[in-house]
Amino acid sequence: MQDRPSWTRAIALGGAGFLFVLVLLIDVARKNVAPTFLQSNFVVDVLSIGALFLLFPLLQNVVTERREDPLRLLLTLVIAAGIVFVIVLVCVFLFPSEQFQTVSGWLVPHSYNAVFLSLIIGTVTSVAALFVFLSLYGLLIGTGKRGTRILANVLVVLLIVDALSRVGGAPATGSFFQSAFFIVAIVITVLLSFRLPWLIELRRKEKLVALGYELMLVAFLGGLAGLLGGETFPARSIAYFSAPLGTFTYQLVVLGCVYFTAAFAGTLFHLPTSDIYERRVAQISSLRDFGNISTQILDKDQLAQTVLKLAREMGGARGAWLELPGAVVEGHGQAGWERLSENGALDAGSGLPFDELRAEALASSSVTLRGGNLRGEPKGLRRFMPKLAAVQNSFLAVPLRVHNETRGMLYLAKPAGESFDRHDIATVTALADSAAMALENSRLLREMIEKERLERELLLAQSMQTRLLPRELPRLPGIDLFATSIPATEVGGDYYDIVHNAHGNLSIVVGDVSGKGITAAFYMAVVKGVFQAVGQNARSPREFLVNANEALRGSLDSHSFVTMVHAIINPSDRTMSFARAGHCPIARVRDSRVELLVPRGMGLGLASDDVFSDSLEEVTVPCVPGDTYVFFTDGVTELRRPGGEEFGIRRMEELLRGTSYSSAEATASAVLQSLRQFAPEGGYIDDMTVLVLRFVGCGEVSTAIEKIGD
Amino acid sequence: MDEFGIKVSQQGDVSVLRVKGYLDAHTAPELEKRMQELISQDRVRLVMELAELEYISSAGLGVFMAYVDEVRGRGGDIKFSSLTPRVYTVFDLLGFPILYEFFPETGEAVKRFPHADSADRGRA
Repeated sequence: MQDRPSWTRAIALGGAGFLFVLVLLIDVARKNVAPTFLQSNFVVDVLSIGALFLLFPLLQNVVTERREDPLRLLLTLVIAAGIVFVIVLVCVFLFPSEQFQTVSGWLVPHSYNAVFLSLIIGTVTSVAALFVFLSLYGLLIGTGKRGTRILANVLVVLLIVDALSRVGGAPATGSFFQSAFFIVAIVITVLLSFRLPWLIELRRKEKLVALGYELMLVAFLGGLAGLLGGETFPARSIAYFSAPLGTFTYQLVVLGCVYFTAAFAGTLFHLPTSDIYERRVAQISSLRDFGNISTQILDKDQLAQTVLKLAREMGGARGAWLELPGAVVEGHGQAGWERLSENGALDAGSGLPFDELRAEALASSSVTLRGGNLRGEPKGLRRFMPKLAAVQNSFLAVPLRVHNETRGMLYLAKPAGESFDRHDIATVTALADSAAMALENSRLLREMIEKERLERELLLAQSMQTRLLPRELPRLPGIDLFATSIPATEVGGDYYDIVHNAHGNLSIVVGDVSGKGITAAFYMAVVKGVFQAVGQNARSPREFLVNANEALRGSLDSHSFVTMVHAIINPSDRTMSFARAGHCPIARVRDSRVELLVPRGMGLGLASDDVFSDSLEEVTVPCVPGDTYVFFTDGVTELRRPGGEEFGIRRMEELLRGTSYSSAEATASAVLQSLRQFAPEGGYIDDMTVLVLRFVGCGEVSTAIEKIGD
Repeated sequence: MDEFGIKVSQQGDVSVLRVKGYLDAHTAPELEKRMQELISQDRVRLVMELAELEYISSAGLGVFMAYVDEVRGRGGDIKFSSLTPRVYTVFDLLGFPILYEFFPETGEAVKRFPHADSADRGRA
């Protein structure tokens, strides 16, 4: 009613009142002449129906507001029926039925008093009848199924047609039961009374209240039916007031009485099952709650406890156990699983047939075991009869499955004599499904968090690793040096360095640790340590690499090795010596000719010192101005583009041959640019290191190295 | 890019592992697993037939290094056969030919296991 503007309400009420006053005026006017005077019987009937029609939306609102709450609607009905019953009862006692007399089928009022009273009684009862009508309709339509709606609508049509057929007719109070329509209406009402859609959802207590209301309604409506069906003053009043509305009122009172009598019986009938219904409702809402809660619980144990508690409550069980992947505990659940009980502790549940139940449940979807009576139990379980005979409990075992993969087991136990019914199994299985999903979600979430943590640490490691490389190379006359290293997306193991050693020589290293990731990064740090320790005193690349092999063989794991090129520039005799330990070839560019130098040598960490030393070849070259030496790692030549094509050593050669570069930096830049053009999308899978050494003027080499030493 | 794959066949008491595709950090564990299986069955005479191996990374090379000592300690060996020149270059640069035997044909590699045939016949 709140949403309806008050002026429409005022118009409806005013209009209805106006029409009732018109009826009163006509009744007064025709009191002393025939009731059919100037067809006034038609006019009065039409006016009174019209008035009721105006009140229809107002009453409809009252019902609609209460439709969601059947008990409130029933109470309103009880109050309305009670009031009308009292009014009618009082009138029966106060006024004799002789106030109206029957003259050739028509009722004639004895006094103006009777005219006035008939209007009041007629209005009140027909409004009440309309209310009963709307309430019944509301109750049936509220949550009813299609069949119920059709029957209810047929009933409505019958009642309206019956009422309309009486417009202008004589108020034959005694002929109601002869109406075939009414008999059909009663049959339909009886049919409808078997359907109590509004009742099922009520809880036990509410059903008891409903019983009381229904009893009162049966009493009031039954009383009214008795009073209005007889030759009483109110009966004659409503007949005189309006033949169609009188009929309508009487029929509604009778139908209401029938309906609520049946409803009373129905409510009584539903009362014992309401406990079960309530438990189902509780189970479903628990399941829904779990669905909501489970997404917020990250901790596996906390989740397990929630599942255990809910499972025990939902299955009406005494004990609950959950087996989940976890620390392997001897004698606790399947290998690799741990069994938890509700108190959170590991629980062996000693003597209980977990293994047998699990084996059977994994073969099907769930398994139940009735304590004490093993007849009719699955064959697999009967095989264990001797053991189970000692177990008096009833069990339910359900696997926790995600995507057909078993992630755990849920067990419930009840004392002997109680068993798990179909609904218990269904709801516990549903819980097991969503528990499996929740556990899986929490696992994935934990994994994701762990992965993010690792990624952060990897980034940190990457930046740490960058710091292991020299920040800046000295700019020196005589030697033009440039080096750069592009780290892969993962941390890698490329290393380069240049130090001034104890013998006044320049020691240069480019190395590559096998593999990728954290292991390679650690080894790269080890390589730096070896270079800084051994490289200081080594007189030749051969000496350095043999020592490095010895040092690294002790610290590398059996899968790992290091490849390296080591060079020493000797200023006193203006030469450069270098050796290759399993590393990529060294490119020498001289007068636009490219030579790949591949002195023999194995990777570090591959073989014993003797084998390594025997295979190692050292090369000594003079410092020729204009000669450029390019040291690189295999990340450069093995760079791949999406199609799978490698950058390759040939491309590298052509690149170096193509142009005469003005400086070491220009040479390195050309290489890097070419690499970027080759695989522009970045995300390199391996580190790429390029170190370019260019002899500018050999006379200056000596002073240059002395400068580094300063 | 061909799918990585390993096919193991027996030639007498020599196990031939046909490795194809890319042997890198992602696929190396699979090769490692197969080798462990063979070694646990005391099959320590191994020939790696690498004709269809397109690429090998340092992680792939590491697998051979990891098992050679154990295999040789139990009287067996790891030999290589049918490598493409490109893949052979990778082995060669690292110095593998100093430590391992390489053959152009698998049959030749199998034959080079001492007493392989006679041992086999003896057992049968």
